[in-house]
Amino acid sequence: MAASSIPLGKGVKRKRHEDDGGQAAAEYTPQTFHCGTLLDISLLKLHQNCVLAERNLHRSVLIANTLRRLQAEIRWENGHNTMPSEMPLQPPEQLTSGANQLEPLSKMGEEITDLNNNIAKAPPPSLIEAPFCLLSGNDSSLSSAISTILQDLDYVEDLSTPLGQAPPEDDHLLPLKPVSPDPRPEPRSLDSIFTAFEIADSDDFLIDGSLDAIFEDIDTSMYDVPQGFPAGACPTIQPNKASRGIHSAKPHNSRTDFELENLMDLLVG
Amino acid sequence: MEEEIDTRKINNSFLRDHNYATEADIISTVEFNNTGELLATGDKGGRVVIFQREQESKNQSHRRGEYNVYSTFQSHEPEFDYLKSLEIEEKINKIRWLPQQNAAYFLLSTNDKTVKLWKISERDKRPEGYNLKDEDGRIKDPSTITTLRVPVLRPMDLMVEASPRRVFANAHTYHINSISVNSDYETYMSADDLRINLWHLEITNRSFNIVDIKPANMEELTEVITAAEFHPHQCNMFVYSSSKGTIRLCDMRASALCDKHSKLFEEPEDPSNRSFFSEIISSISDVKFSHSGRYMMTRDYLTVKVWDLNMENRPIETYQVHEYLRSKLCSLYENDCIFDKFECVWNGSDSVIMTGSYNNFFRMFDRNTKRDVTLEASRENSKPRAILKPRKVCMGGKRKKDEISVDSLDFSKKILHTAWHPSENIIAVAATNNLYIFQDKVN
Repeated sequence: MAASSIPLGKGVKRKRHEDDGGQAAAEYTPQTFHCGTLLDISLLKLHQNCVLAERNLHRSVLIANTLRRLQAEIRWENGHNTMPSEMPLQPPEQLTSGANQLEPLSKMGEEITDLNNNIAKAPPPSLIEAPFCLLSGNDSSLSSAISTILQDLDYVEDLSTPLGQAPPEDDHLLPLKPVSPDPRPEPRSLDSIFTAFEIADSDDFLIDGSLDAIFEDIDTSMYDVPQGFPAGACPTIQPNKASRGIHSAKPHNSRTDFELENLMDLLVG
Repeated sequence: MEEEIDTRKINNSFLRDHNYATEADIISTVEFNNTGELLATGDKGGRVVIFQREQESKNQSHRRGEYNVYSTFQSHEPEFDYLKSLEIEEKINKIRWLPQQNAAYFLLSTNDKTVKLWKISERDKRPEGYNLKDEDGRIKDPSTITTLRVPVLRPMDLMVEASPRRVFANAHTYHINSISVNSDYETYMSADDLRINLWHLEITNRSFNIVDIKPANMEELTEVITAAEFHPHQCNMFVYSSSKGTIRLCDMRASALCDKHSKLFEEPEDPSNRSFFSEIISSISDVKFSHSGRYMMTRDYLTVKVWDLNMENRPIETYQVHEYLRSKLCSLYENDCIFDKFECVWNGSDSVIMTGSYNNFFRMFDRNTKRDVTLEASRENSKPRAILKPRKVCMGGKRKKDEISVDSLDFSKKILHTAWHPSENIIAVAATNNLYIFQDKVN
């Protein structure tokens, strides 16, 4: 499942913001690593993992842990003047080993973050290499982004828990803004529609009166316009949109067609 | 250690005529059966191909038995989980053979979600001379039958049939990474990222959860299960490895849920080697018990370690597989190679261990002499029947003749899966979509 493999040392052009750190990264000393570069790479990877059809929990956990480590390093380097008193480390008992001292996200201290509003798009490359004060301000928003992603990876057995908000797809970085202001319309009604399709409530499908309503709604032109779905529409479309924010119309339509056919088979046959 | 190459450059896509490598042909697992007579491979397209060793003929005793294709079947199909809108890959993650108890062969194969038990049996006779059916199978009119005869079995061309006997489904929320058959030959376990389930081979609608490391709050998840295996002789013991470089030995007699380990194997981190990637490279990708049951071997990104089950605080042996990559970790993180999961294997006598690397290299370590060798599995560099030449990677500075420099390594050519015959020096090496079988020189 490896992403596009870039052969090392083959003179392959690297991404723009990697050029500065590319050479330096080849020779390892801890301090020559640009934390910002690594942070950017890690966030990108985590983001990619979320939108991939197959989610790799192992990979996500490793990247998330690396992110936490980077965060901790940045905070430590930022020193003791800006940080309020930190919360005590309380790693989950059965998981962490003695050697690692990573803080679980839920215990991260609440840092000031007024930079949320500013970080809607990817910061220009120069800022990534910039002093860490920029990144340190994103601590809690970064933490919440990571925890959101981990929650999203939770393959919940019961679908009642609402999925984490999707990172907007055109962002280079993950959304470092709080979760609630969702650019997509009606986040709440999405949740309520979604809970209506819990396995436990599967009897809803069997109500005679709504059969026609289901068939009425299966019209592909509907899916060109993003809008809330009335109850009774294909349930599988909902989690797709909620969790991954796939906006491009073309692949979306072909996917819904396929799902529609299969759902039709289920309902009818 | 020199090996003679057998002519088995078996391309798994032998049914197709393509010259390019189709992704479905990428081999994802290789496993000899308990006698070494059969070799199974699974690929990304959900197929299983089984090779059988030729019987050694008397007049060609100098030529060891070669492996030929015995059976091919589609084990898993791609599926779609409608509830979660996720595709379930058909890639075969692991194959494990069951010990042979009758004329048929049995194996377990698994993809991310479902384990299947396959029966592979031979048919070399067919009944002829039915009374009520003619040779084409059409029903005869009873009034045309004047005599009765007894059908006889006549030899026919060998036909090998594979049929699914059990399907163990719907027990794993996360992706299955390991299966392991217990020494009691009645049960087996399947492990995913967060849970391990125990099954009975005869019962498909029930499994027992024996390990569960899922935290109540997924935000607190920092560690996953990466591999698991039953002890080869003690049916109550098993180990599982984690992404943090720890191995836990559990005893099923202690309690029904083995969340508390009996032993925890962990090596303290070397402070001089600490980096942002320390945790990622310490993640264990494979764990294998020795045949004796006394030791176990683990593979992390840069090393192979041998542990004594009686000593938990550090391994007894550590072998560097490709230490020259330590300075390249950032690039390897960037191109995802750092997440590659290499496997490792013991030879039959537990004296040699083998694992793969990049550039189609694989490494062998002799535990007794402490010698190691790097060999390459590729068509260009090997002629049939030629002896494999040891390879060497140079770190920097002057490159000697025949050495290859680190920057010239091809990281898309990785050997993740290898297998060693249970009693002889025959190895199977999977290089992307090619399978190489090497045998020891006969002299």
